[in-house]
Amino acid sequence: MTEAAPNAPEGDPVAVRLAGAIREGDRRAEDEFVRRYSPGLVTLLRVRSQDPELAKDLAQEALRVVLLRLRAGKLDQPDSLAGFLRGTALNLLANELRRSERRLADASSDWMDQIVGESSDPYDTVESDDLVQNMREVISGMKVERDRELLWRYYVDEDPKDRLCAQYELSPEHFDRVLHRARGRLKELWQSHGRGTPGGPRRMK
Amino acid sequence: MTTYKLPLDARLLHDYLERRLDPREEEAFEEAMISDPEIAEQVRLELAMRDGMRELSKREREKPRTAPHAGHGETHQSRSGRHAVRGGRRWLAMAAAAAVALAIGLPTSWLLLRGAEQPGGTSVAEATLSPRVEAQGQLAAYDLPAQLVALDPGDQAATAPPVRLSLPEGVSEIVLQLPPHSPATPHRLVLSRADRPQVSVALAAARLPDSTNDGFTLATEQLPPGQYQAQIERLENGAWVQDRQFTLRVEGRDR
Repeated sequence: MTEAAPNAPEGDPVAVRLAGAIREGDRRAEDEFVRRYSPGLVTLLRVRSQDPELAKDLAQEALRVVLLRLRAGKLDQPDSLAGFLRGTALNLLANELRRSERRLADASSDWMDQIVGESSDPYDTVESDDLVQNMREVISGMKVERDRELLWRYYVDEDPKDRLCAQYELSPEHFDRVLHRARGRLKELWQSHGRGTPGGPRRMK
Repeated sequence: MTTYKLPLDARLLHDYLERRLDPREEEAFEEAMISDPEIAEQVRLELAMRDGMRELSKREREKPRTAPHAGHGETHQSRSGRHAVRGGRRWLAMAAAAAVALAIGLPTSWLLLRGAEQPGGTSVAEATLSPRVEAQGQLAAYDLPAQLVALDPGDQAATAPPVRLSLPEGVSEIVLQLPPHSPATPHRLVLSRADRPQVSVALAAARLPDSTNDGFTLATEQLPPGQYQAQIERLENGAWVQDRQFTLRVEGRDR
């Protein structure tokens, strides 16, 4: 846990301290500001956009915009820094979506080529390969055979729940509990192997 | 001020990723996540796990079949393997709400309705094409300029007039919605291009968002203009049997 972090945006003393230091020209405070707020911003934008690269780009831009305001001392309520960052990030995302819609409307031809081209980025393929390989390893490393089977059949094979309930002789409620526990164990294993989304937040320039 | 106990409650994580929190809860959670990198890390971990599962499911579906699957008819000899019939919707659904916010085009719902039995046992169903402008919260409808002819198994769909689909510009997805049926009866859609019948894709039916019906979702990028053979099958006693079939003609986009 970072300093005074847990869930305390309102009256956040760290935010107030950082805002003051950045206004005074403290470059180390700027670095701390970026390190502290990048992960949450990237994650928020990732959840809302489903696009990891866009999320990183927009998070960086949101941090830049707010950093400039902090340098200029133009943030009225530094203790609401998280809210201001969130609002800035969501505005940037909305603008980006509007631009995307316009780009689509303006595209007069070759829309198929464009879609195919975008979806066949080799960089994406490499990241997906890693992710798939990691997931295979983690699932196959689960000690309880039923966990392995159930997770694979439900999430990978996408077997219907009622069929699995019948085969494992579980009531729907019991199935939910068993699946929940299996997911929990998978998550622990995933975490213990240090798996995560490739690429972290970028450093500000 | 909302305080979140760590590790985060699984239900809270699920609801956040499904965009099911109400706006105030969502705002509070996101501000806490921005302020607390540990919350962000837990959300990121859950996201990575979901991405991994979804991608794994997708890869498994793309694997070539190594052995014939019981019940597959001879008309689909080159169909991908067992996993290829899965729709990948279980993990996709988890991200559906967020995806709506990103949707560039407009999803379109194509509803199959039960029709009257015709002489000779052929049933004719009307099809309605309803663009669902979800991003703007509107709902419009217009008729599909064709009848959908559901043939008895064994009949030749080629003899029936094709369902013509002329997609307006901006439509990114079509949803083929099945009539109500027992959820215990899995259905799938097998689609092949008329000029390349040896290549086909199969999609498992899944419960559609905002609907009590099952159906199939297809990205329009997967349907370039051309003629397709579409067959809906249901699982009976461990074997896929034909439910209905029709010819689908996708025409160039309206501009």
